[in-house]
Amino acid sequence: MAEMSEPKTDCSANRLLVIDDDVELCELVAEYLEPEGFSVQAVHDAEHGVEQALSKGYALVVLDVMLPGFTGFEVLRRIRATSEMPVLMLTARGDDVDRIVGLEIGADDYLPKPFNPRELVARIRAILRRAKPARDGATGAVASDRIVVGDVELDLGARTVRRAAEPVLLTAVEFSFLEVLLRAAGRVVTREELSKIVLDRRLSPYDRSLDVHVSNLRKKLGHTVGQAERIKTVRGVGYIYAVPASP
Amino acid sequence: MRSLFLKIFLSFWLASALIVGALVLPAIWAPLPGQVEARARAMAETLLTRYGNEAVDVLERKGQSAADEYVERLENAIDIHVFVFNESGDEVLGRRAPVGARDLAARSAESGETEILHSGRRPLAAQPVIGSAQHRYVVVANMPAGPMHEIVSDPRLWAMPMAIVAMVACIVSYGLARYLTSPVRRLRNATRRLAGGDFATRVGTAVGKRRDEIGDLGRDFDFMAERIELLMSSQRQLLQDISHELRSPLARLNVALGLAGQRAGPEVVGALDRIEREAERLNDLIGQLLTVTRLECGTEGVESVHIDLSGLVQEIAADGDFEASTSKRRVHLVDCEDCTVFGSPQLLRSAIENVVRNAVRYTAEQTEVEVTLRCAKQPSCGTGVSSVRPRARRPCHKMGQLALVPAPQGVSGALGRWRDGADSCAVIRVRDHGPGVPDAALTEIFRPFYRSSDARDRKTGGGGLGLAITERAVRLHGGAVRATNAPDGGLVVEIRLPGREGKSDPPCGSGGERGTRD
Repeated sequence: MAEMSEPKTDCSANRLLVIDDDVELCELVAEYLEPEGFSVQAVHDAEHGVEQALSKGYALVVLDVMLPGFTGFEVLRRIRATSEMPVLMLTARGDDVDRIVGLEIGADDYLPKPFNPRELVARIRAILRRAKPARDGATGAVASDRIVVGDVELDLGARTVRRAAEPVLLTAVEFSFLEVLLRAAGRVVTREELSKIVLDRRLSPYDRSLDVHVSNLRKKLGHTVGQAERIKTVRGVGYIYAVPASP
Repeated sequence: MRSLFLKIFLSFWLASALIVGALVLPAIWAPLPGQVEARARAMAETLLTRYGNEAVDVLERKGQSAADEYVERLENAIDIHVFVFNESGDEVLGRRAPVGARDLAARSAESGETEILHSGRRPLAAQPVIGSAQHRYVVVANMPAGPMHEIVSDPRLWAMPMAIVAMVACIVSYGLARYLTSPVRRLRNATRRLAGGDFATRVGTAVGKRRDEIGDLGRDFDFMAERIELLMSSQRQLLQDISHELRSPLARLNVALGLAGQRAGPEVVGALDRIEREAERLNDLIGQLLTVTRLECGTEGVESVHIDLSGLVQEIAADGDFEASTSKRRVHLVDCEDCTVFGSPQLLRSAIENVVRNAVRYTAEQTEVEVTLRCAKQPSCGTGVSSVRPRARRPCHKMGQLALVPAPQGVSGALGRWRDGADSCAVIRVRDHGPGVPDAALTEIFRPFYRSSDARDRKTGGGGLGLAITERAVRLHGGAVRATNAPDGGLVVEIRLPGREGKSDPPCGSGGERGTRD
């Protein structure tokens, strides 16, 4: 295994689970990811996939949508039933429905097959970065920043969200998305900014995953705050989180 | 319903009229058969003998006026008009005899027998009577008309029955027509639904349980629908399998390529990049091929919604501009009017995008691709016949918000001829500043894999299926696409789609229908 660039006490931070029925592909992917600093466990059917994913030994799951038996979506649903762990979906290229459905169920991001393995690494890293709790640069202690806007409270250290004091479960990407919006509450955040910060990639013109993440956020947090729309789409530009009216 | 009902009704009447005619007319016009004739004669003889003698008797004893009175009473009693002729052929009662009575009387006097004349409605019978003083008379009686004559000439007698017959005819015809047309209509609806893409349509027991030819047809229809459904789903399955099977090796290839890249020295990197590009091209081609095949086979199952075309075009122009800016080209949305069309957002997006990307690819460096969307009221647009299948109420998916959208007014039937609801023509015009296309090839460019012989094609890359997809997708929506050369250089591609002015109904629309892509 290659040298880790950061000292890690927690090896599971770089343990990945790949659920795909294409055995050869899994081998190749594992081989590719190892020099990148990941250790990969591959599983080739849905049952074992769910089992392993929920065993909590992994930092992220790479999940193929087209699995024998019940589909990848079912696996995703079952994982999401009890865990908000990061999930990257591998979808069939050109199949829009798969993409939207997957993101709606709660995948953090998707990558159509066939994919460029560099892209795979980039997206995995992007999600993992989001999933890590923020650490104070100097002391290394977990930052205890809180962001509060209206009825929503974000705890950056614990990476939890509460709305009207009720906890809300968000995926890593959703959390990151909300963080960006809240920090800029009342101001428009462009799609380019969001793509860069949240998805860690330049905005691709035909990438609609931002839309789905916003949709999921709306669903989870509620579409409105009082009378106003919570997260407003500014067409052609980006999104804006509504600042509540005078207290 | 109307025409079959009328046919049955008129046939019924025609048949009835013929039957009645066949029965009645001979009775009126044809000579009576022998027996009947004989009976008539016998009756005439009896009547004439009795009343004739009486009349003559009264005439001789009491005079003309008494006789006249007598005859009148006879008339009122039994509806027989009596005339008496003397030897010189004059009517002695002072009454006007009907035509032919005199001649008949003469004949009778001559033959000494009872003579009957069947002319007109009422037959005449003449019989010689010998008076008291051996005077010879002939009594002519105007017999009552035959029963048929009576009935035909008196409207009161046949008006009521006719009315009843008419009513019965109506009821029976209506019932029969309904009995025949209602299953036919059901079959027709089912056929249209099937043609519109609903392969689960069946007529079932509504028609199938009949034992007649229509029932047979119903059962045959169901059988056919089942086969078609099977064919369609197996085709869909095949396409999916092809996609999967072709792409799995490509996926492995890409990762292996990545592995090679990890370990390769700089001298190999160039070749690896080239392999990667070709693999990408292969993949694009597979995707496009599948799209074209799906469109051709109609297994696309185009579900359709209202689309805010102006929003869609704006997005595509913006995205295109973003992409173009990386190669020193721009896309400029010159004009964008509000327009709504009905169809599949994904397909239309593909269609328009392909044209824009094509334009970006061919337009010269430092130039702009101009995009315009206009919406003009026009009775006909494109082919006008859309195969998109409207649903009565279709959930409109706006990123998580669900709303029900009613189908546009005037949409008729599952074949989705949207002519009625579309009163305008949306025209999307994409103009580039590239080399254009030779006039002869202007229609050819929409064929799959068309390549002009221009060597620059190979450099600019791109599979030859984009415009083919555009053409088919636009056609599916009842529109048409056309390419012309601009007078000052460059290609102009025009997409026409039947639509409506203005934005689509809230809350869906305003870009909410956009599909997603890679």
